[in-house]
Amino acid sequence: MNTLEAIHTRRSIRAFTSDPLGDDELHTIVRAAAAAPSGGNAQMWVFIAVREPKRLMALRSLSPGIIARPAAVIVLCLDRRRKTTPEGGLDEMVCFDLGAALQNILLTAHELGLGGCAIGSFNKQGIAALLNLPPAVEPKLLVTIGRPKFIPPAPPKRPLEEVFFEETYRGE
Amino acid sequence: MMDQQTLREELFHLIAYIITSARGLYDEPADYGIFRLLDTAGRLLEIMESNDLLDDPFLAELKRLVDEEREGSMDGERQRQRLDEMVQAIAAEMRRRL
Repeated sequence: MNTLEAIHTRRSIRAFTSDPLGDDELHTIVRAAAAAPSGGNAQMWVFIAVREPKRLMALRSLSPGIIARPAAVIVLCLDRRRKTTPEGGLDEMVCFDLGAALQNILLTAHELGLGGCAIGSFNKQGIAALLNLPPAVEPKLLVTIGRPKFIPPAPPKRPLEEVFFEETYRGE
Repeated sequence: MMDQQTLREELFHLIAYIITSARGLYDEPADYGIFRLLDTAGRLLEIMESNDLLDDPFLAELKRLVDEEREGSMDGERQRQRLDEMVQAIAAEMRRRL
Protein backbone atom coordinates (compact mmCIF):
# COMPACT_ATOMS: atom_id res chain seq x y z
CA MET A 1 0.00 0.00 0.00
CA ASN A 2 1.50 3.37 -0.89
CA THR A 3 1.17 6.42 1.31
CA LEU A 4 -1.57 8.14 -0.68
CA GLU A 5 -3.61 4.97 -0.88
CA ALA A 6 -3.26 4.51 2.88
CA ILE A 7 -4.34 8.10 3.53
CA HIS A 8 -7.41 7.85 1.34
CA THR A 9 -8.58 4.38 2.32
CA ARG A 10 -8.09 4.65 6.09
CA ARG A 11 -11.33 4.72 8.06
CA SER A 12 -12.03 5.32 11.73
CA ILE A 13 -12.66 1.80 13.03
CA ARG A 14 -14.93 1.54 16.04
CA ALA A 15 -15.80 -2.18 15.96
CA PHE A 16 -13.22 -4.92 16.31
CA THR A 17 -12.92 -8.69 16.13
CA SER A 18 -11.67 -10.48 19.25
CA ASP A 19 -8.23 -11.12 17.68
CA PRO A 20 -5.38 -10.05 19.95
CA LEU A 21 -2.71 -7.56 18.89
CA GLY A 22 0.69 -9.25 18.53
CA ASP A 23 3.94 -7.88 19.96
CA ASP A 24 5.41 -7.35 16.49
CA GLU A 25 2.35 -5.41 15.34
CA LEU A 26 2.34 -3.27 18.46
CA HIS A 27 6.05 -2.48 18.20
CA THR A 28 5.77 -1.61 14.50
CA ILE A 29 2.97 0.82 15.34
CA VAL A 30 4.77 2.41 18.28
CA ARG A 31 8.03 2.77 16.34
CA ALA A 32 6.05 4.62 13.64
CA ALA A 33 4.49 6.87 16.29
CA ALA A 34 7.88 7.76 17.73
CA ALA A 35 9.20 8.52 14.22
CA ALA A 36 6.79 11.47 13.86
CA PRO A 37 8.21 15.00 13.59
CA SER A 38 8.13 17.22 16.66
CA GLY A 39 8.76 20.92 17.22
CA GLY A 40 12.41 21.44 18.16
CA ASN A 41 12.67 17.63 18.13
CA ALA A 42 11.37 17.82 21.69
CA GLN A 43 9.61 14.41 21.48
CA MET A 44 7.55 15.18 24.53
CA TRP A 45 5.37 12.17 23.93
CA VAL A 46 5.05 9.02 25.98
CA PHE A 47 3.07 6.11 24.55
CA ILE A 48 1.46 3.60 26.90
CA ALA A 49 -0.05 0.50 25.31
CA VAL A 50 -2.72 -1.35 27.28
CA ARG A 51 -3.55 -4.89 26.20
CA GLU A 52 -4.14 -6.77 29.46
CA PRO A 53 -7.92 -7.58 29.42
CA LYS A 54 -8.77 -6.40 32.94
CA ARG A 55 -6.88 -3.13 32.61
CA LEU A 56 -8.40 -2.66 29.17
CA MET A 57 -11.87 -3.13 30.62
CA ALA A 58 -11.19 -0.56 33.34
CA LEU A 59 -9.72 1.87 30.82
CA ARG A 60 -12.79 1.47 28.60
CA SER A 61 -15.06 2.25 31.55
CA LEU A 62 -13.20 5.52 32.11
CA SER A 63 -13.21 6.40 28.42
CA PRO A 64 -16.73 6.91 27.08
CA GLY A 65 -15.35 7.52 23.60
CA ILE A 66 -14.26 3.87 23.29
CA ILE A 67 -17.29 2.14 21.84
CA ALA A 68 -16.44 -1.50 21.21
CA ARG A 69 -13.73 -3.75 22.64
CA PRO A 70 -10.39 -3.06 20.97
CA ALA A 71 -7.40 -5.41 21.24
CA ALA A 72 -5.32 -2.55 22.57
CA VAL A 73 -5.45 1.10 23.48
CA ILE A 74 -2.44 3.34 23.08
CA VAL A 75 -2.48 6.29 25.46
CA LEU A 76 -0.67 9.30 24.02
CA CYS A 77 0.77 11.37 26.85
CA LEU A 78 2.89 14.48 27.13
CA ASP A 79 5.80 14.58 29.53
CA ARG A 80 5.96 18.19 30.73
CA ARG A 81 9.49 17.71 32.05
CA ARG A 82 10.91 17.59 28.53
CA LYS A 83 10.02 21.07 27.27
CA THR A 84 7.99 24.00 28.53
CA THR A 85 7.53 27.64 27.61
CA PRO A 86 9.61 30.14 29.63
CA GLU A 87 6.51 30.56 31.84
CA GLY A 88 6.43 26.83 32.49
CA GLY A 89 3.41 26.20 30.28
CA LEU A 90 2.98 23.88 27.34
CA ASP A 91 3.92 25.11 23.89
CA GLU A 92 0.87 24.77 21.63
CA MET A 93 3.11 23.05 19.08
CA VAL A 94 3.24 19.87 21.14
CA CYS A 95 -0.40 19.12 20.33
CA PHE A 96 0.46 19.15 16.62
CA ASP A 97 3.35 16.80 17.40
CA LEU A 98 0.94 14.39 19.02
CA GLY A 99 -1.34 14.76 16.01
CA ALA A 100 1.51 13.70 13.74
CA ALA A 101 2.22 10.68 15.96
CA LEU A 102 -1.49 9.85 15.92
CA GLN A 103 -1.64 9.86 12.13
CA ASN A 104 1.46 7.62 11.98
CA ILE A 105 -0.27 5.19 14.35
CA LEU A 106 -3.48 5.10 12.32
CA LEU A 107 -1.76 4.75 8.95
CA THR A 108 0.60 2.05 10.21
CA ALA A 109 -2.31 0.13 11.71
CA HIS A 110 -4.12 0.41 8.38
CA GLU A 111 -1.05 -0.85 6.52
CA LEU A 112 -0.97 -3.88 8.87
CA GLY A 113 -4.62 -4.71 8.19
CA LEU A 114 -5.63 -3.28 11.56
CA GLY A 115 -7.66 -0.22 12.37
CA GLY A 116 -8.39 2.24 15.10
CA CYS A 117 -9.87 5.50 16.13
CA ALA A 118 -8.63 8.54 18.02
CA ILE A 119 -10.50 8.98 21.28
CA GLY A 120 -10.72 12.34 22.98
CA SER A 121 -13.57 11.48 25.35
CA PHE A 122 -11.94 10.07 28.45
CA ASN A 123 -11.51 11.10 32.03
CA LYS A 124 -7.95 12.40 32.36
CA GLN A 125 -7.69 12.10 36.12
CA GLY A 126 -9.15 8.61 36.06
CA ILE A 127 -6.78 7.43 33.33
CA ALA A 128 -3.79 9.03 35.07
CA ALA A 129 -4.65 7.16 38.27
CA LEU A 130 -5.29 3.86 36.48
CA LEU A 131 -1.96 4.01 34.63
CA ASN A 132 0.02 5.30 37.57
CA LEU A 133 1.15 8.44 35.70
CA PRO A 134 3.36 10.90 37.57
CA PRO A 135 1.95 14.47 37.77
CA ALA A 136 4.20 15.70 34.93
CA VAL A 137 2.88 13.10 32.48
CA GLU A 138 -0.50 14.08 31.11
CA PRO A 139 -2.72 11.81 29.02
CA LYS A 140 -3.87 13.77 25.95
CA LEU A 141 -5.39 11.27 23.56
CA LEU A 142 -6.25 7.59 23.28
CA VAL A 143 -6.08 5.44 20.15
CA THR A 144 -7.93 2.16 19.93
CA ILE A 145 -6.31 -0.58 17.85
CA GLY A 146 -7.65 -3.91 16.65
CA ARG A 147 -8.68 -5.93 13.65
CA PRO A 148 -11.71 -4.28 12.00
CA LYS A 149 -15.02 -6.13 12.34
CA PHE A 150 -16.08 -4.29 9.21
CA ILE A 151 -14.87 -1.32 7.19
CA PRO A 152 -17.36 1.54 7.43
CA PRO A 153 -18.10 3.66 4.37
CA ALA A 154 -16.25 6.94 3.97
CA PRO A 155 -17.98 9.65 6.03
CA PRO A 156 -19.17 12.77 4.18
CA LYS A 157 -16.43 15.37 3.77
CA ARG A 158 -16.79 19.08 3.09
CA PRO A 159 -16.19 19.90 -0.56
CA LEU A 160 -12.64 21.03 -1.19
CA GLU A 161 -13.89 24.42 -2.44
CA GLU A 162 -15.19 25.05 1.06
CA VAL A 163 -11.91 24.39 2.83
CA PHE A 164 -9.18 25.22 0.33
CA PHE A 165 -8.30 28.54 -1.33
CA GLU A 166 -5.34 29.58 -3.40
CA GLU A 167 -3.49 32.76 -2.52
CA THR A 168 -6.20 34.51 -0.45
CA TYR A 169 -9.27 33.51 1.55
CA ARG A 170 -12.39 33.64 -0.58
CA GLY A 171 -15.00 32.11 1.68
CA GLU A 172 -17.79 33.90 3.53
CA MET B 1 -23.46 -17.77 31.75
CA MET B 2 -21.32 -15.45 33.88
CA ASP B 3 -20.73 -16.32 37.52
CA GLN B 4 -21.93 -13.74 40.04
CA GLN B 5 -18.47 -12.29 40.61
CA THR B 6 -17.95 -11.69 36.87
CA LEU B 7 -21.44 -10.22 36.53
CA ARG B 8 -20.74 -7.91 39.47
CA GLU B 9 -17.49 -6.85 37.81
CA GLU B 10 -19.21 -6.19 34.46
CA LEU B 11 -21.92 -4.13 36.15
CA PHE B 12 -19.34 -2.21 38.17
CA HIS B 13 -17.59 -1.25 34.94
CA LEU B 14 -20.89 -0.26 33.35
CA ILE B 15 -21.67 2.00 36.31
CA ALA B 16 -18.17 3.49 36.07
CA TYR B 17 -18.79 4.12 32.38
CA ILE B 18 -22.14 5.85 33.02
CA ILE B 19 -20.74 8.10 35.75
CA THR B 20 -17.63 8.95 33.68
CA SER B 21 -19.89 9.73 30.72
CA ALA B 22 -22.08 12.00 32.84
CA ARG B 23 -19.00 13.96 33.95
CA GLY B 24 -17.61 14.10 30.43
CA LEU B 25 -20.78 15.58 28.96
CA TYR B 26 -20.18 18.87 30.81
CA ASP B 27 -17.26 19.43 28.45
CA GLU B 28 -18.48 17.72 25.29
CA PRO B 29 -20.89 18.59 22.49
CA ALA B 30 -24.48 17.90 23.52
CA ASP B 31 -25.05 15.34 20.75
CA TYR B 32 -22.36 13.11 22.25
CA GLY B 33 -25.06 12.27 24.77
CA ILE B 34 -26.82 10.32 22.00
CA PHE B 35 -23.77 8.10 21.55
CA ARG B 36 -23.29 7.62 25.27
CA LEU B 37 -26.89 6.47 25.70
CA LEU B 38 -26.69 4.18 22.66
CA ASP B 39 -23.43 2.77 23.97
CA THR B 40 -24.97 2.21 27.41
CA ALA B 41 -27.80 0.27 25.74
CA GLY B 42 -25.20 -1.70 23.75
CA ARG B 43 -23.15 -2.49 26.86
CA LEU B 44 -26.27 -3.64 28.74
CA LEU B 45 -27.25 -5.85 25.82
CA GLU B 46 -23.69 -7.30 25.84
CA ILE B 47 -24.09 -8.19 29.52
CA MET B 48 -27.48 -9.77 28.77
CA GLU B 49 -25.86 -11.78 25.98
CA SER B 50 -23.10 -13.04 28.28
CA ASN B 51 -25.82 -14.19 30.67
CA ASP B 52 -27.83 -16.08 28.06
CA LEU B 53 -30.63 -13.53 28.25
CA LEU B 54 -30.55 -12.66 24.59
CA ASP B 55 -32.37 -15.72 23.26
CA ASP B 56 -35.35 -13.43 22.70
CA PRO B 57 -35.30 -12.74 18.92
CA PHE B 58 -36.53 -9.17 19.32
CA LEU B 59 -33.76 -8.26 21.77
CA ALA B 60 -31.16 -10.06 19.65
CA GLU B 61 -32.22 -7.99 16.64
CA LEU B 62 -32.24 -4.85 18.78
CA LYS B 63 -28.64 -5.57 19.80
CA ARG B 64 -27.67 -5.91 16.15
CA LEU B 65 -29.27 -2.54 15.36
CA VAL B 66 -27.76 -0.80 18.38
CA ASP B 67 -24.30 -2.19 17.55
CA GLU B 68 -24.66 -1.02 13.98
CA GLU B 69 -25.47 2.50 15.18
CA ARG B 70 -22.78 2.80 17.82
CA GLU B 71 -20.05 1.27 15.71
CA GLY B 72 -20.76 3.01 12.42
CA SER B 73 -19.65 6.39 11.15
CA MET B 74 -21.09 9.58 12.64
CA ASP B 75 -23.92 10.73 10.40
CA GLY B 76 -26.46 12.65 12.48
CA GLU B 77 -29.42 12.78 10.10
CA ARG B 78 -29.28 9.10 9.20
CA GLN B 79 -28.91 8.21 12.86
CA ARG B 80 -31.96 10.24 13.86
CA GLN B 81 -33.99 8.28 11.30
CA ARG B 82 -32.63 4.94 12.51
CA LEU B 83 -33.44 5.85 16.12
CA ASP B 84 -37.00 6.76 15.10
CA GLU B 85 -37.33 3.36 13.45
CA MET B 86 -35.94 1.61 16.53
CA VAL B 87 -38.33 3.40 18.89
CA GLN B 88 -41.27 2.51 16.65
CA ALA B 89 -40.21 -1.13 16.59
CA ILE B 90 -39.79 -1.14 20.39
CA ALA B 91 -43.24 0.42 20.88
CA ALA B 92 -44.83 -2.14 18.56
CA GLU B 93 -43.07 -4.95 20.45
CA MET B 94 -44.24 -3.56 23.79
CA ARG B 95 -47.81 -3.43 22.50
CA ARG B 96 -47.50 -7.02 21.29
CA ARG B 97 -46.29 -8.11 24.74
CA LEU B 98 -49.18 -6.50 26.66
